[in-house]
Amino acid sequence: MAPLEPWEKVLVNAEKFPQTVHGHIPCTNCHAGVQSSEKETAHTGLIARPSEGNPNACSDCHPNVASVYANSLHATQQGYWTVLEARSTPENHPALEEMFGNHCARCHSSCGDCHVGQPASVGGGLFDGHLFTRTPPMTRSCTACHGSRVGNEYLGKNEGYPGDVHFREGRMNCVNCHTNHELHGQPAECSQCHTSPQEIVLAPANHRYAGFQSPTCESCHPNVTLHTDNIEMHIVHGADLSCQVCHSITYTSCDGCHVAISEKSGNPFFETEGTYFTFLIGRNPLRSFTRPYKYVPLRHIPAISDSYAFYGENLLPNFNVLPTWAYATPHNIQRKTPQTESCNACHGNSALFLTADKVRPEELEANMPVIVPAVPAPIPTETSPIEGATSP
Amino acid sequence: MRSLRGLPLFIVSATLLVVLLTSCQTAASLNAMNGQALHAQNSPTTVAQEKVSQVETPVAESPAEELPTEIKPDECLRCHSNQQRLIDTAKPEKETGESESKGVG
Repeated sequence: MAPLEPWEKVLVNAEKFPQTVHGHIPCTNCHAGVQSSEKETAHTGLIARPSEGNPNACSDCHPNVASVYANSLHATQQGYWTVLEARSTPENHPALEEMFGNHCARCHSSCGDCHVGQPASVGGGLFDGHLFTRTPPMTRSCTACHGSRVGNEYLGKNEGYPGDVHFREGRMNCVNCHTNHELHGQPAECSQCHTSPQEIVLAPANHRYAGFQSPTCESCHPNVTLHTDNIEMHIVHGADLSCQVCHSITYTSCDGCHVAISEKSGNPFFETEGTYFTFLIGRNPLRSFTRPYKYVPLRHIPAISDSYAFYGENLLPNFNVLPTWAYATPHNIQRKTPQTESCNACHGNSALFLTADKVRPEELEANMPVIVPAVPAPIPTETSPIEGATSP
Repeated sequence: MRSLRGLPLFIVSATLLVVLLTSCQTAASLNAMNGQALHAQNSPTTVAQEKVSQVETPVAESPAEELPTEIKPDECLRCHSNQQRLIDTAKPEKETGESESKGVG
């Protein structure tokens, strides 16, 4: 996505914006500054991003959303810290915080980063003349940050691999599945909104796969769990395989990321050793009541033990507490995939499974929980394609 | 003139009956009558009842301040809606050079 010109970033639609609800609010109410025809005077005390922080400019009219958004993963980026804290020790946190501020914090999102302008990670700037959008434009907001993996997979930008059927056929936006309730976060106690007799206390999500699954495939495809779709494999494997095991296709994995500050320019930069396509099924590292599957697709993450060596030695002494092949939900769903061709497309096919020989020696210890010790044996009596498979 | 003997008594009785009927009406029925059709509003009895049980109705207050006759221009919008002015007053862009990052972020 090409960055906006400087003037494009701040150009306001004088015809349409004043007609909107937000357009009736004086600019200085949110942005501070001073009403003046001189730029320097006008920008005195300017707040360029008034939706940052909590409370913020949005809080006055949208108090409920603004207050819970502060707990959301987009605001806190807690998912990163959940993993960093697991792999490090407290004495390393100051160095990791510096690293995080230089290389990761740009993906922090405020209200405006979705509803009025592009995220800072892609240069910022107004979407459309300062008009507010209830549904953020997918390619200028969501996939601007979630681009290299999810965005490319979903939109079909990986050469040779089709986009997700929900996009190709369903013309669905990200928010068709990832609702505002999920994206805006939740209060510390659900009872603040849901007035039920029971007090349910759920901590804000500390990772994208924490807590209850949201969204779930079954919420739109209930016939799968009800076993009313005449697909035998949904009965046979519905409980032990995540949907993506059968219905996603090859996706991106990465190796060996290092971050540093350039001596030449003083700018932060990163280097990854490699990016490649893969499809590997492994044991579920997050197996629980909410994610009961035995097998799931796994994506290799590029973090290694010395990823942050620029900021200090041995900053991740507990690196091996978490696998480097991580729980994945590739956003490239297809009805028919190589896995659905027959039972033995997977059974007996070691190429599809994360076996020990596919893991780097230095990462074996970390990935023991997800490595498949024995590939499921071929089905000897199968002589026909999967029963119940229907033509598109 | 035996037939006219009862006339005064009849007149007095009828008058008393009318008075009794009108005095038995409650405040609620008075209010209901106030909201009824035009013919009821024109009834002298209804008008009298309206005066007796006056319901307070809100009256729009005239604004204390006079409405501005001239809207002040929004200097922010005047500048930020002018593409050429934004171009002319933009800070010079720093040359960031080619990104030194390698690989997919």
